[in-house]
Amino acid sequence: MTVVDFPSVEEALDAQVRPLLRIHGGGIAVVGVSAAGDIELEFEGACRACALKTVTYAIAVRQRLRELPGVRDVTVRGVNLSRAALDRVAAAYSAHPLMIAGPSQAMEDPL
Amino acid sequence: MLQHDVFVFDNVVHMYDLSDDNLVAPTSAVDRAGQLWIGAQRRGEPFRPLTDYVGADGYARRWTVEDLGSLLFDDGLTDMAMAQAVVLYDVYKDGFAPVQAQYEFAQAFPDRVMFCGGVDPMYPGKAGALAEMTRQVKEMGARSFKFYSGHVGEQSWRCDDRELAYPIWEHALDLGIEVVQFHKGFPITRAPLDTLTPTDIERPARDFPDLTFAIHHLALPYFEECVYIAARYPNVVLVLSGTMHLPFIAPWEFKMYLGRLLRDVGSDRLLWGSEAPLLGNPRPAIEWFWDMEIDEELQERYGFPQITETDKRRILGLNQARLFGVDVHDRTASTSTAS
Repeated sequence: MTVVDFPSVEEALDAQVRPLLRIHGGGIAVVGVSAAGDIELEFEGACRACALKTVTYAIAVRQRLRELPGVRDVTVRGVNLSRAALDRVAAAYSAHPLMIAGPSQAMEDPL
Repeated sequence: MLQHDVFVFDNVVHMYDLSDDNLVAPTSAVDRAGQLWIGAQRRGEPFRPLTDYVGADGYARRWTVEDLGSLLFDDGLTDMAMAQAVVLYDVYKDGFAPVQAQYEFAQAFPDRVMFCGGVDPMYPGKAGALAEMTRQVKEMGARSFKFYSGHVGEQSWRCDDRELAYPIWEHALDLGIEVVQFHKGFPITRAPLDTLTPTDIERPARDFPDLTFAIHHLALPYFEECVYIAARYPNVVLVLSGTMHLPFIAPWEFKMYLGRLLRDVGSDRLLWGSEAPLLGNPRPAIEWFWDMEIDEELQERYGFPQITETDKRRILGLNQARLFGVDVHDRTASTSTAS
C-alpha cells in the first residue's frame, strides 16, 4: 500500500511547486495530510490575492500533487472551484505529467 | 507540430532564475517571504522572525535549457518559441527571467528559439538602458524587447513618457527592432495595479507607427482599455499569455474574452503565449484551443463570430511568424517531409 505523509508532501512542494509559485511572489503551506491521502494546503504571498489562483490551484498544485502515489485529493483553503473544472484539468493533463522529475522514492511505503 | 501542418510559434516562454543568489536583499526578501510570515501567524504557528522565511524552501537552482527544451519540443507541440527576459530588478538582481538565461536558451536551440531581451530605463537609467539595448541586439541577437514598467517603489515609469520612454522606441527602430512587448495588467510583485495599465501604450502606438506594440495578458483587469486601444491602432497586437490555461477552469469566461477580441480586434493581431514552464507542458492548452468553438449562445447574444481554422492557425503561430519574418512554408514542408 502506498501512503503519503506530511514530509513527503513538503518534499514534493519544495521540489515541484514552490519554485514555480515563487516566480510571481507566491507560496504554499501544508495545513494537513490525512491517512486517506487528502492534502489540505493554504496559499501564501501573492497567490492569496491573485485573480488567477484557481488556475494555479487546479493545474500547478492539485494536478501535480495528484501524480504522487497515495494522494486522493488536494484542496487549498479559500479556493472554491467546481467539480467540472477539476475534472477538465484532470482529463487534459492525465497523459501529460506535470512533475519535472520523479518524486522521491520516500513516497513509496517500504512495506 | 499540431496536426502535421499547424505551425505553433509560442510568443512567450521564460528561462527562470529563482536561485537565492539572484535575490536582491533585503527588499526582495519582503516580496518573497513577507506574506509567508503573515500566513504562518494567521495559522497560529509559533512566532518566528520574518528573516526565517527568506529562502525557507532552500530552492537554489536555475531552470536548465534541457528542462525547458524538453518540455516544449519533445511533446509540447511547439515548433518555435520566443524566450523573453523579464527584468524585474526591484526583486531579482538579474530579473526573474534574466537576459543571459534567455540568450542561452536561444543559443541552445538556434533554429527554434528567438531571443527577446529586456531593459528598464530606471535600472540603472536611460543611457544605460539604451546602451544595453545596443549590446543585446548587436552581440546577443535580440529580436524584440520586453518591458515591465510597474515597480514596488517609486521607480515605475510610463511608456508614453516623452523624455524617458520615447528615446527607447526611437532607439529600437534604429537597431532594426520591429516589435516591443509589455507586461500589462496584474502585477507579479507588490507594485500597485495602476502602474501597469495599458493606457500608456496609446500615444507611442500613435507616434511610432512603424513599431509594433505587443500587450501581454490582455492587460487584465484592464480588458476594456486593451480592446479599445488595439481596435484604434493597427500596430498593437495582443498576447494571450496568462489566459491560455483559463479554459480548463472557466471556458465560458475565456470564450467571452476571445469572442470579443475576434469581433473587435481580429484574429490577425492575437498571439499564443504559454508562459512555459509555469503551467507545464503547453500541449493540453494547445489541443483545447484547436478543438474549441465559440458557442452559438455567444454568437447570438454578443455577435461574436465563430472561430475558424484560419483564425486558430493565425493565433497559434502564423501571426508571430509574420511579425518576426519566419517562413512558415519552408518549415511545414520540411516537417512533412521528415515525417
